[in-house]
Amino acid sequence: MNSQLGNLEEAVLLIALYLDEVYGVSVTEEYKKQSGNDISIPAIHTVLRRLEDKGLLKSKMGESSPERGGRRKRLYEATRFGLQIIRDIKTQRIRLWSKIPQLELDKK
Amino acid sequence: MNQQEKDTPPKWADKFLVWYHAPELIEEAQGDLYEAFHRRCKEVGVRRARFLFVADVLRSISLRTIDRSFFSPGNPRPMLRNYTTLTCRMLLRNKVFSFINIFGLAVGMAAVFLIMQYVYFESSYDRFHKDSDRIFRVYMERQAPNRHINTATIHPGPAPAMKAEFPEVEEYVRMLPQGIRMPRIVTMSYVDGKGNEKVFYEENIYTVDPSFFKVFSFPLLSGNPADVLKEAHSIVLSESIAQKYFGSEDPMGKTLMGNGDRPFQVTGVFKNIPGNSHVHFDMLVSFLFVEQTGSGFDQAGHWKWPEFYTYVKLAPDADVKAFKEKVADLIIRHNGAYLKERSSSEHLRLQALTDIHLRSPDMIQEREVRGSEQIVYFLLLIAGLILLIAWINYINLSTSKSVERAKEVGLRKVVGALKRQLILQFLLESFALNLMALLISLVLTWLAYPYFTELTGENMGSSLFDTGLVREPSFWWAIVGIFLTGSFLAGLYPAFVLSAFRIVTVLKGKFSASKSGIALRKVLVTSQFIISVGLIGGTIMIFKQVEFMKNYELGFAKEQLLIVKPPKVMDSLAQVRHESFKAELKQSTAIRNITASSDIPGALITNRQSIRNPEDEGLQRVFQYYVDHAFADTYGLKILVGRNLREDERLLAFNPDAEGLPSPIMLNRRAVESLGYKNPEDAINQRIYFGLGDREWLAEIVGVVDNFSQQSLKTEYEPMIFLPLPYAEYFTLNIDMTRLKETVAYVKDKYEASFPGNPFDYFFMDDYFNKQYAADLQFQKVFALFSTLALVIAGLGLYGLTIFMITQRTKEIAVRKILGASVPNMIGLFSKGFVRLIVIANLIALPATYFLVQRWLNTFAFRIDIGWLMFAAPPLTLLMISIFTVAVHTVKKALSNPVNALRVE
Repeated sequence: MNSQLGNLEEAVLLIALYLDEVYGVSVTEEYKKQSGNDISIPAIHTVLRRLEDKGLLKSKMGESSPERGGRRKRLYEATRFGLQIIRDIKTQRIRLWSKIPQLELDKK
Repeated sequence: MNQQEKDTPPKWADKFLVWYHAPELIEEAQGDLYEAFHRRCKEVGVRRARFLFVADVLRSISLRTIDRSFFSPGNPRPMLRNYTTLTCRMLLRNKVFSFINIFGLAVGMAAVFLIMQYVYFESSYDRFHKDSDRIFRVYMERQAPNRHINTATIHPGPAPAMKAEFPEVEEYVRMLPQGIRMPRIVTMSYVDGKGNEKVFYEENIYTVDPSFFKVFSFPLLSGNPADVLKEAHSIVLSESIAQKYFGSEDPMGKTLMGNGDRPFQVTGVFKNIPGNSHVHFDMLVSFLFVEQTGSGFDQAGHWKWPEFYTYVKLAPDADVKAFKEKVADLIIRHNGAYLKERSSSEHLRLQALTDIHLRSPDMIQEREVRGSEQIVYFLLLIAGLILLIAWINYINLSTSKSVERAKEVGLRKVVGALKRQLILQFLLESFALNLMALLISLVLTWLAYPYFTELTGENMGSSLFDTGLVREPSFWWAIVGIFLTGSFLAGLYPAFVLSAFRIVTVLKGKFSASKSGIALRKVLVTSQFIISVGLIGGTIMIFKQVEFMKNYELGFAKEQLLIVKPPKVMDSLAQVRHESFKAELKQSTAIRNITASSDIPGALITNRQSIRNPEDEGLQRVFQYYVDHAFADTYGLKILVGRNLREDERLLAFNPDAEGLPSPIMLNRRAVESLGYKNPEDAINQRIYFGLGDREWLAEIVGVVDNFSQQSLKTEYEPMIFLPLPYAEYFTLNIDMTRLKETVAYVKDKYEASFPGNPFDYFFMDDYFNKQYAADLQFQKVFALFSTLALVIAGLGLYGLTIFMITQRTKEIAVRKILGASVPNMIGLFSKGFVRLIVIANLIALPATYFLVQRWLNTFAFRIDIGWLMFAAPPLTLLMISIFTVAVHTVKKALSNPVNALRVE
């Protein structure tokens, strides 16, 4: 199974599912905003590429803008496989949560 | 938009990004980084954005993003891989060459790094004070007829006057070491809750103005800097002293007893004074305490008491230059009549706090050893020379090897290598070599640091990181600089020489090193010889001078003298106890003589007197010894004329019954001369006055002793007065060294019987006196160490060079041998080239060394002459090294069968 996703990979995949324009800068900003942790663009690039290798994301080239020095964006999009994987993870997590007795949780 | 165009990311980082990036990924990476850069410009500013851009470029480097074509053929860049392989092969194949170069460079770099640490430490003195740039020490330039000196201490009067008269002075502080005409605290004691008493001798106490911590910012661990010294009974301790008395208890508010009867309350604890402070002290008490004891300390009124270290903190906007001029004649304005009477003058001078350690003019009254800017930079120079020698080795060895590599280069050219590519390859080799050397040198520096600090004798801290140099970016830039300079300097020449060969000539086997190449190599070897000659000569002379000082006839016998310090607490019975102690010791046959005195040779005498001729008003300052009759005999002083002091003679000055009677005294030759007597004989039985200020007493010169060196041979003989008064700060015992062990035991026994409850402590005069040469000894050691390093590296270079030279001439040796040449014959032939270079090097280096050594020797009052050794030893050493090296290799080649050498090819 290819579903062994790292924490960061999982978060990036989720972000990719709801952002309008999914590319290095936007994901970095969104990740910082949501997690509160600092992260560099190269690190996000690495994750995006790894997800693409695993077939969870696909990409195409977008438009260029002057502030990008004429370079185009690489826009990512989740594949159906990606969507399925992230759903699997969710159900798996919910199943695990359900195992925890309500009582124990309340005690805490 | 306009703004955005101006704010661009750093070009070089951008280029680098495009250079290494895989082309299919660059679009995304560069675009995203640009976009982020422009966003950040708005959010966090251009500077920060540029920094983050560079950081991101570096962070983008990964296996994935690097252009694949680096690793695959068919692209100019894959050559890099080939070059790397070649470099590794080259380093492994020529082990001797690699070792000599890497070892030499590493040691050279390590030497530079260590010395940089030292230089940094030496120039960091007193910079830790807040406002250190506007704190100044006030010292005094005194001029009297035929005397012109600087004193580090001034009268107590000027400081308050300066503050009152000049608005520039924000604050001042005066410091007086304990024991100078003041109620003297010698022991401190503390009784803890359980009634246990702890008593220690304390010698490093300063009496200071309450404003002390307003001027200096020695960090306080507890206590408020503004009022720690506010009360007369306040005392501030160092961390370690507090630990000594109170252990883990909180020292604040505890009471220490001075001399057992004067209570002080601990109001503050300061952090131990760091090594790079020009003044060190254990305890501070306030001048208020002195006033309270009623000892007549009238601060403002004193203009004739030059014993106070004085510092001023000027206002931030003060014009220092103008202020210096204004204060110069302050003493003359206040005390001009007195000075004029004595036809002398005293000018106040200001010296920046941070200049005290390295850039003080010659001064008397300094309590701590000052550094020397010259020596600091001199050591830096030596380190640079070592590095230079290592670089020269690299150039020499690579160019000589060019013969061996000529074929390799030729073949490369045949298969299409461009000149540019060849240069790149050789540069890469140089980089690789330097990088390895750099890494090794950093480890070496780290390992050698503790030993190095021991050698310099400076309290630089035990780890490389204590001096703080590693936190200075300039240090890292220097490292990068040394690395790049080394790589290019050492790499460029071989790269160009080797790449410029002509293919056809080389492949025909007709290649031999070019004339200009050989000439350059000769110049380089000669400069190595020059450096070596200078270092050998310098080392020898420093050794000789230090030995000379250690063995110099000082005017007193410093051998066989054992010094014992009596307990310092004086009570009415102390006198009696001292006498009985002396009497007891005289019983022993192993103790030839015993004397009690207020000072001993080697110590900085803190007590001074003024003497004058009755016909003359001019006061002469002399150092004062209180001694008993046995002093001259114990120390083997030579009495020139007159007689020794008698056992029953006493100083009559403080005795009211003896008003008007002269006290018998002895003077030394220097003091007699300062009084104006041409011959010591003229002074005998003459009456003079001694005393300070308003009190003067009559004295009669009963004897004149010859001069002796009170302090190291750096200083001239000082004028001295010997007053007969049993005032025992020291007992000096002249003992039979063959029975040392039992004698010490005996003395200890008697000491403990006479002074119960006091710790027995002793030392030897010669050790004590030689401590003064510690700084010179250390200089000698550091110098010797670095000279040896330089010689070893130069020697290695010579060794390598000889190997290549002889290898090239293998056939020649074989042929010569067949024709009947003897081995010594060939050794002579082959060393001739070196001998010529050595001669040239000596002709250049010896006069320069002579000049430098002469300058160094002139800093000593008593010095050696530069003898023949300095001129003979360096050339001989070099000749021996080079002939030996040549001989070893020649013999090896000559002993092998000539057929083998000739059959090749």
